[in-house]
Amino acid sequence: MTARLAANGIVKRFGGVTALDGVSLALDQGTVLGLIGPNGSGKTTLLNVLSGTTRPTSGSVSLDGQRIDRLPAYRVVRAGVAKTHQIPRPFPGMTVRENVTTAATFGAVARGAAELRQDVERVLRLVELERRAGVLASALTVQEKKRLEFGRALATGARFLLLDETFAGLSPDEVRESVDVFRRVQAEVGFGAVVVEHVMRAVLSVANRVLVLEEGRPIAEGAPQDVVRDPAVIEAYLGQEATRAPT
Amino acid sequence: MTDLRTAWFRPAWRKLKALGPTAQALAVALVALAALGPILPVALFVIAILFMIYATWAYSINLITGMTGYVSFGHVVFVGTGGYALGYGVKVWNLAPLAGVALGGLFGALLAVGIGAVTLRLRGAYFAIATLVTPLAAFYIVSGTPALGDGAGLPMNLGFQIGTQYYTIWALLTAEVALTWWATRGRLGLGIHALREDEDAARAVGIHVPRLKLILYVLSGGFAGAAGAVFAWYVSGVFPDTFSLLFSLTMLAMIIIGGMGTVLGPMLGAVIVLIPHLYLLRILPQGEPIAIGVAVILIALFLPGGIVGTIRRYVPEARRYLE
Repeated sequence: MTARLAANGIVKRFGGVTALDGVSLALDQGTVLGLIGPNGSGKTTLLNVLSGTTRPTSGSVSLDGQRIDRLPAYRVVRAGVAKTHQIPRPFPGMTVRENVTTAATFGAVARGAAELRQDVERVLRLVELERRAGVLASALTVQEKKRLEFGRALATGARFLLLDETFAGLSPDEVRESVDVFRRVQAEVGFGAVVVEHVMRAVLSVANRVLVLEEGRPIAEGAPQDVVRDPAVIEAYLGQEATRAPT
Repeated sequence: MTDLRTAWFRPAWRKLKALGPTAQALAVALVALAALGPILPVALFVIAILFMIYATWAYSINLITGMTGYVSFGHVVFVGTGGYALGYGVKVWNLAPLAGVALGGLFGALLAVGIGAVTLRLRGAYFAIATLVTPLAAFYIVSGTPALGDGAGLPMNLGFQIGTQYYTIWALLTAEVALTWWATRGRLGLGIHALREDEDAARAVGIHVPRLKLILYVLSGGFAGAAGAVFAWYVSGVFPDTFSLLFSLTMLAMIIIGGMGTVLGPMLGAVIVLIPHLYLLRILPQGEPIAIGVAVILIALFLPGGIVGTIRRYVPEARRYLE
């Protein structure tokens, strides 16, 4: 049976501000859900709720039917849902290999020493950091740091990855490379993923489905090519500028 | 024949070799301290006890501040609490001093549970300031408690038992060095290193950060308390001015100079801090804090990472040998 990550009626208020207003989603292991929307639409907050970093005001998150929204973040990781940060946060004073080893050691899958070493090397190969394995993480380029962040989440053995703007801040060439890496790894490992993304081209090429948020509410969901043609989505992205244009 | 006779220690020998130079050097130093005990002249013997007390404090604050980066400015609160636990136990319950040391360790650890549960939620300067307050509070509490001698402290007359003192503090220091070494390797070592580097990222890979911090803080408080009890035993009394900020700063100075979070650093730091303590105290009593302060400023400016950290940073080949 494939695993299933589901969120039901998520509401999140910060004081008087409603960041998320009744968002539901469900995805099976092996599928990639793109999460898009204008700035401030609640994408990152939703990711934080799914990863256990933020508790929802109401609503629930479940993994295979087990509620995980009341668990502390480290337990959510051990249950099999790992998040990457928008700005990569590798452990700077550790080597690339140590970074990955730490994630593998504490993550969702218990394994013996030999198996762990094997898994670490596999992850390094998957994210194409084998040749940088002995380098301190602080010495990596931005793109490499992003791949390390991805590799570290992968190494936890998570069945679901939550990726916060993995492709942001990269040059078009780097985006293309990173998208290739992501697709290849996803095909090989078969994790499910929620991908928050601004780079539209990247979302469309990695996601099976897309969910669009505006002001904390879902306004469209479906196949990528349909969603981008949805009038409500075009309005949400372009409407403001279109109305402002005459002045 | 020779094979039969040597066979038994081969695995042990291999294990010893696998420890690496840092652990071996520390083991040699500790074994030498134990072996030299009976033949040291009394003057040196007494200095060696003081040195081991200082080193135990250095390793204690290293467990929390060195390992996690949480600067425990009020660490002396555990030292004083341990001292008062021994003083009270010995005076009121007629405990043997050794039992008093155990009591000191227990109280240090219990106090760390309480302080840690609250303050370890704070980060950076906020944690430092919150812990800084605790010895100030302790000072006024003990100064106003009749059972603890009001402001006069608890002088004790325990006789001259430097032999027991020597091996008590030796055992504490040895246990603590072994613990420190162990905490820098394997699963635990990775977890602690990750926590020191980036607490949030550590959570994001599945590390139970709050528990790890509290365990380290409690161990740290326990050792500081036990060593504080030995100190009270050593100076035959415990007084409110034990809760002095200078003590906390001296402990921090030892690991800043030696190298925070390292296995060898606290030992080096204890040696370097104790020398001005012994000599400047006689020539120029105010000289000690000045000398330590200047050393800390120079190290912080030019050698962040302390002696061990700096060598590790600039001589990558040394990383395998120097921990």
